Amino acid sequence: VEGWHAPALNGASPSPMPWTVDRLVSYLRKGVDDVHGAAAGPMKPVVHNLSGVPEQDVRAMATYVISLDPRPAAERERQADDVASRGASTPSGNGPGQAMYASACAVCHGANRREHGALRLSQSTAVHLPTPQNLIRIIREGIVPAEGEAGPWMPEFGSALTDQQLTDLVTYMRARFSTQPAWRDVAGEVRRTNRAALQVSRR
Amino acid sequence: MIRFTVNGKPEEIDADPATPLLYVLRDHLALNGAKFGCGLGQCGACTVMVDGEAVFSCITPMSMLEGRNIKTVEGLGTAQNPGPMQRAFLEEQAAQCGYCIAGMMMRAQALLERNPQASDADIRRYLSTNLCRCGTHMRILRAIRRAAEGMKSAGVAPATKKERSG
Repeated sequence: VEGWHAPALNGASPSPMPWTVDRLVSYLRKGVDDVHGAAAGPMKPVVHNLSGVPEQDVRAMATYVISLDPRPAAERERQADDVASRGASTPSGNGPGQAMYASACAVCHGANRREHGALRLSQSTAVHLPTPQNLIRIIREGIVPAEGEAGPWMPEFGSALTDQQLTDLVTYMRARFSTQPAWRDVAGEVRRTNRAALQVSRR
Repeated sequence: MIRFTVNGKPEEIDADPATPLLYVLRDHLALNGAKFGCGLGQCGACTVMVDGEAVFSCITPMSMLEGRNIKTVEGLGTAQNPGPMQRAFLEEQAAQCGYCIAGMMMRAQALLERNPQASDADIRRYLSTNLCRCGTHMRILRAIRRAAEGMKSAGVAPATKKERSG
């Protein structure tokens, strides 16, 4: 959707942490959940609109969406416990991706992340998707609330990173924080997200 | 050892790769134009240019900067011979306390180098990452429009060359 990957909501949901009705209600109304991530791209206006809808209506939507996942509740809870207990993954490798992650990302997303309330990346949906699209765009554009509105926020790193650096960083994050196989054509995906167009649409 | 150029001059810095560019500029190279504001990339006072793009130097670690070209407000001109952007800010008296101004100039410079025809809407949108608590926004906008005219008549390229040789 508009250059973003919209994740599956049913049993094929790529989120490492299974959703619950309460979490989904809160995400749909506030645009952020602390074990999944923040609404970005075309999901932002959806949250904007739902923030004004009565909670019971959003709860009804969330209840329906959760029902699309056929896995029994017990299995979902077990998965949530597994992911939560995975804890801090150990730093791996010493390539450029590791160096950039350690010096630019870990300040907020690393062990001391609570200070800024940033997401633990082993729980990030973007890192676990079938394509690197969303992760690339979030790193490049940051997460910026609509003008005049409060909301989740992350600075953009797109102006500072070369395409090669972004490719290295995204590849490293997938390997370190996801249990999924490596993404195939990260460099190609980085090239395809057009820099100039993003500059214009960033805000 | 990290090698990069600052305002056209090659530099070699022995710093932890996690050191933010801002600290290296101010503490190692004594280039104090870029300011520490929030340290989170939220206010824009630390903005400098990296390979022509405006970046928040407070959240840009040295590990990203091997071989890159940095330009700071000191690279836009000198007190004796200000560049078009600096001259425009002086002529419009756009600074009140001045803390945000180096960042404002660098972001505006990056915009106008890429798009000399930037509209008022382009300028407002692009500069929206940079905060000014004194409230001189209208003067800042006038200064950037004036700089756009100044850069067109002076040409952006000659200003860059002058700064490289100096």
